[in-house]
Amino acid sequence: MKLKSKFMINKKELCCILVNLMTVKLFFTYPRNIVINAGNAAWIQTIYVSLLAVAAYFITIRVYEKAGMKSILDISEEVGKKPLKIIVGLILIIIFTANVTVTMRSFPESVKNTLLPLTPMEVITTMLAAAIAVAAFAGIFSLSRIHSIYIPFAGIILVILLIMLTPYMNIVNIAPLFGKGTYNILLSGLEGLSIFSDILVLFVLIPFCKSFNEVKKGGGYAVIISAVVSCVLVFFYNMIYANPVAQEFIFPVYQMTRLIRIGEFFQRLDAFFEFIWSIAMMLYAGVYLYVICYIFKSVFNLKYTKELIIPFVIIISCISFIPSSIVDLLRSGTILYRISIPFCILLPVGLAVLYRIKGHKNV
Amino acid sequence: MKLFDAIKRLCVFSIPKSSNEFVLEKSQSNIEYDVRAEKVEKPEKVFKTYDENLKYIEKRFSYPQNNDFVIRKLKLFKDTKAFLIFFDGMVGSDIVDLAIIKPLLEIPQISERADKNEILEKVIAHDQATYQDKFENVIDDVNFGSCALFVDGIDAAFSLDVRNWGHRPIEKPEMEQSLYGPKEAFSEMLRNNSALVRKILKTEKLICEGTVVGKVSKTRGVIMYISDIANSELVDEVRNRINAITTDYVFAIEEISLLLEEKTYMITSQILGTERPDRVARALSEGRVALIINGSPKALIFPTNAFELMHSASDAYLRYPYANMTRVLRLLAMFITLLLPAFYLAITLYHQEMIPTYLAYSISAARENVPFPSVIELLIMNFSFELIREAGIRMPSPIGSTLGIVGGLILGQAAVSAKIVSPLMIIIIAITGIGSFATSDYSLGWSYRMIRFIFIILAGFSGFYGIALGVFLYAVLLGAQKSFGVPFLSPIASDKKGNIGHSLFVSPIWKNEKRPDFLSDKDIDNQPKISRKWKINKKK
Amino acid sequence: MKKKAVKIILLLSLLIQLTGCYDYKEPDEIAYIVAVGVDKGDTQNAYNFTIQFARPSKITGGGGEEGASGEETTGIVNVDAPSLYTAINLANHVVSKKFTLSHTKVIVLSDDLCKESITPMIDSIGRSSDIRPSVYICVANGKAYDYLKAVKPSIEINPVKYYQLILESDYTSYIPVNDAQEIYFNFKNNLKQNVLPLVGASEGTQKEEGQKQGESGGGEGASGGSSGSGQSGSGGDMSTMGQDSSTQGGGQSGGSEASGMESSQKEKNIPENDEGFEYRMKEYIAGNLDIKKQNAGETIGGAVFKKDKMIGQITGIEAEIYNILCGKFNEGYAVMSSSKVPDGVITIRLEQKERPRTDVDIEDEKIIVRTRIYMEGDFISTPQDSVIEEDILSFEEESEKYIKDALMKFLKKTQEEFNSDIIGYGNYAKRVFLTDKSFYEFGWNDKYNTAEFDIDVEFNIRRTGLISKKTEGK
Repeated sequence: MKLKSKFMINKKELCCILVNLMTVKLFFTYPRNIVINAGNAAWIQTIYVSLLAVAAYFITIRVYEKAGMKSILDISEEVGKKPLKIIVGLILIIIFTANVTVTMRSFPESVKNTLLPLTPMEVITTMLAAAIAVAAFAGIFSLSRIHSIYIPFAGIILVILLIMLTPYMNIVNIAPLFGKGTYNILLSGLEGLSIFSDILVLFVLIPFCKSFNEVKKGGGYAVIISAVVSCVLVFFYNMIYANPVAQEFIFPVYQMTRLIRIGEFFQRLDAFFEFIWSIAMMLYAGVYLYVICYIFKSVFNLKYTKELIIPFVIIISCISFIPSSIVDLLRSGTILYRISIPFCILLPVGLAVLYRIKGHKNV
Repeated sequence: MKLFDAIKRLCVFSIPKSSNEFVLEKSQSNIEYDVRAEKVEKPEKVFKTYDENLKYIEKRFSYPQNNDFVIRKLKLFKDTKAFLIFFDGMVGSDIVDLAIIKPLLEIPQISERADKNEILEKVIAHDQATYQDKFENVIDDVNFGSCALFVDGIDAAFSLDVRNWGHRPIEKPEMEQSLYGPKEAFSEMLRNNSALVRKILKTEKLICEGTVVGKVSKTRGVIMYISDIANSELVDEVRNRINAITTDYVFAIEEISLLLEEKTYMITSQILGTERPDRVARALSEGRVALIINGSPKALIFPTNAFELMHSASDAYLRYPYANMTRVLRLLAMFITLLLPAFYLAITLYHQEMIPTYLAYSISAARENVPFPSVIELLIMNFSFELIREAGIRMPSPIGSTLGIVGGLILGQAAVSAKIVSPLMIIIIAITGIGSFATSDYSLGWSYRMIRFIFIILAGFSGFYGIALGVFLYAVLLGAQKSFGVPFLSPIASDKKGNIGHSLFVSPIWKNEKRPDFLSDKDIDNQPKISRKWKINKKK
Repeated sequence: MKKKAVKIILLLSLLIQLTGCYDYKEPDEIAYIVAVGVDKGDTQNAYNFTIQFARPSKITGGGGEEGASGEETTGIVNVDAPSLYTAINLANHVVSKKFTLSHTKVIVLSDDLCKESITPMIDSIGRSSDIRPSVYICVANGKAYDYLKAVKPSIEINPVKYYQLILESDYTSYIPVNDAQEIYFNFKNNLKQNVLPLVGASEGTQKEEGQKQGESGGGEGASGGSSGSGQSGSGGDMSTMGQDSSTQGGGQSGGSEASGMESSQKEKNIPENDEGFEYRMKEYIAGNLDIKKQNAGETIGGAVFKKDKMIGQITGIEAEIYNILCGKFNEGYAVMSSSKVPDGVITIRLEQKERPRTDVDIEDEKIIVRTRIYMEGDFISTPQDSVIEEDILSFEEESEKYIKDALMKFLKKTQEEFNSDIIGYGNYAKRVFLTDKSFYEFGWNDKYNTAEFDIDVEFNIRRTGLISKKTEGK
């Protein structure tokens, strides 16, 4: 269904989609991994990683400008004909599927831990799978509009949450300044780029957007906003919890929301924040499911997307049950991020450079 | 003797009288003139002679059987025979007498070879008179209240519009009352309604295109738009859709809205209807298209979006802070009526740690002897509240309002004393019910009730997680909705600055410089940048 | 197509019927635990748990008969079990409703237990999502079971509000302030050692039957109180979390005599403070108060920990000093002595306007801790014949000296007697180092008792109440 270009994804919607994709994983175990790596200097590591990511994004989009409104699959087709397109498509599908299965497992884990302790995992996962299947049926345009309504609202709630946490901050928790040492911050700190690995979705969604200018601006705002949010969150986490304790919490942000206490009435509001975060998670999974089906359709030149949704949902749900406990899940998550970071950062740049070279050759 | 007869009837056998038992079994298909068929086999043109016309008309209209059909035979100048046909009760007999029959009987001599034009332009003294060649048009006009004049020797009939039947005068709006602003509402006459709108927008570019809907009922309607502002593709689409409605009867405009909506099974209503002409005029000036049909005091406005269903007419007439406050209140009322019972269930059943400790104790103590689980209790009270409300609608007004109060108070109080429900539940249901009254659109109120039910089930099933699922699903389905090519959630989704003001909140009136962007109007500018010139210092 | 959709929807709705609602718990099928007490059990690894739960219908006054006779507003169950959750498991077999820890207000540990180790308790507090982070943890002087049984508040109907008000309000200064979640963090980080409030049950105080009203002044264990002056420092304010408030600070003016109270107390030998700061106040410790009251529970003083063992106790006045050094002293009444009036005491209302500024310098293994404390005060009462207001500056200087002496004495005590860094100067010492590794190599905890303290007190008198006396003839 081709809409007139007026109602395609515009700057604000694209920005909100990407901000959601990149920041919603922050609420899992990301601060904990950073603190394990860098100790008290986790915030320095996050700032360093964010600057790298912003720089990488701007370089990528500059190189990409020649290609215009083509998605990464179209570029790979023009560069290397069919085989390269299939290879790139399969890599993308594998990365995205792995991403979304880790999410489909972590999110019900956190729901089970905090909201519904006794309900079996299968029930929670089935409800989630049904919801995102319906969302994928509704299409990417509907999802983008919901994003542009919901993400600013969730952002305001996050700001309120952070403001309410300021009484618990303690500047002494930052010291010693360099934590576990500069090697840890700078070199193995590159793991922190896992937050920004979702920027790959932008390059797949380009055909749905209005114009390349919108893409550029939307993506730029999104990267900057998510960089700021991640830095602020990790900074708060460092200020509130000192080093050895901070390495222990499985859900750091949830733990921080448990601290909030205003008088006798506002206590234990963590269920409410989980509620707000749940909707963002479902939007995340919905977008990913649609993108996976779309890539599959483009790679194999199929006609219809909607019939692919249910098989993929079932595959993803089944894969998400593979880790047998939460410890396995954390380990597999770490491995996944280590593998996928180079692809997510280098693949768009690489293909765009190849496209430019090929363009020069043709002309 | 009656008692004796009764006993006799009881004890003594008597042959039962046969009563007439009528069963509607046989289906017939002897249609003489099928008005729905595309091609009709009847003479199209009006006959030239008087007798042929008369016979055809009598047969077509089933003359002596059809009691309110009148044929008035006249003799014009030089004994030219003519007859007048009309439906009694649908024409104004004063006009027929004075303006048509009297001048016709008194017309001066004209030549024999007078043609229809001359008669029309010189003789007939009525303001809306045309001549028709084809029988179909004449009959359509007579069916709708015109009277037709057949003159011997002329192969056309003259149809004169003398419509005047009993109808309701223009009154205050019933559903969309407001304290400020004009207080007129549409009535059932089409011409009155379109006149009400035209007297607000006095521009010749306001076009009222006529359409006819329904093969048998032939309901007339007008599509109104301002041709300099509205997008012509939108107008074409509206016209095509309305013309593509193929049905026999259309009784009211609500049926047209049901035939035009895109998703029948979706819970939210998708078409906006209003009974105030000022609201229609405002919508037309923004570039939308309106539809009014004869016989319904309501106009439909296309396209619409989700936020407009929540607007009320008085938002434009109040001052900026008050109008925003009303909007905020209505938004809060919407959230309360949708989500309050669900949140109550989720918190007390699944997440007890969120409640302050004393509230937890008092809830626990209040529910000590209540036999039902919380979900069942909530559903019972909800259902009884809905019953009271429905009953209150059908009752005449003094009893209706008392019934609501009596039912609510006494029923609730008695239920609490009998320990069937807990007192907190009554408060929740009462606040929810009041919240659902605060919406201005009746069909939207219904959609809230249904959605609330779904949320209660979801919350009772899995607490906050279920509510999150419900909100997510509803939002996604709403986002996929389109209304005449415009996405349902467009005002807030786009990033142009003017739109948010139109949707959720009211912006000051001097800031509405551009028309809404999602309507793709021809002329985007509404006001110049400075519309309050008295604020600027005039350079002397 | 529509039929297919309908069939699928019906099948799915059938599926949901199979699962049911798992977490669905009606509010009246839950018993809310108010307080948990942990004692050492008979065998090696077992503890003795006392679970105090609330009876909501008695508390709110609805359902059932009101009145003092009959059941009380809380019930107590006492079980032996190896851990907290197994104890609750056992208790579920005794009481019909399911216990939940989500509204627990206070956890009391007995001192025998604390002298051994509190690690198991702390771990479950950190790990479980049930227990609120704002739960108060206290140490009982004696058995926790005795304390929980002895608490019978004289104003409120039930102990719930009692615990809450005492532990939350910020007008008790004789109880060390400690955030509940800090206990776990301090324990893990091992830089600042915990000080938990002390509670205890006094012996021999009887409660009159049927008397639920608290008389004014009677009441909850008074913290030392201002004998001699009208006000007792800190009433029952417990903003200091983690305090056991078995004793509420008096807070009532006019002494603590209640009418019609029987008290047969033993003679308690409580030393009196004769330093300049808090002159003539008795050094109370919970369980050892000589205040006549209805409620047998009392809270004053603190228990000092080193890592996970309790190593000592501090009295009420020392707890006040601890609060001042940590920067968590809110407000209270204190008495000072002055050289101009040797026999009388001056009551001032102390406030700590700013948190103390601390700097730690480390040069070649030599630690110097510099602290600057800011206090402010208002005159509340002065002795009869003195005109202190005329010469405020000298009074301020003298008071600063008294306060500084008291602080130094306390800090020396932490170094010599306790050898644990309870104020948390290790946190400030971290600033000197650049990486974690170098800080751990330095080994703060071992070097704490070699530190030198350099305290600077700034004390200002701001207001004098409604009166400002003047000497005659000037």
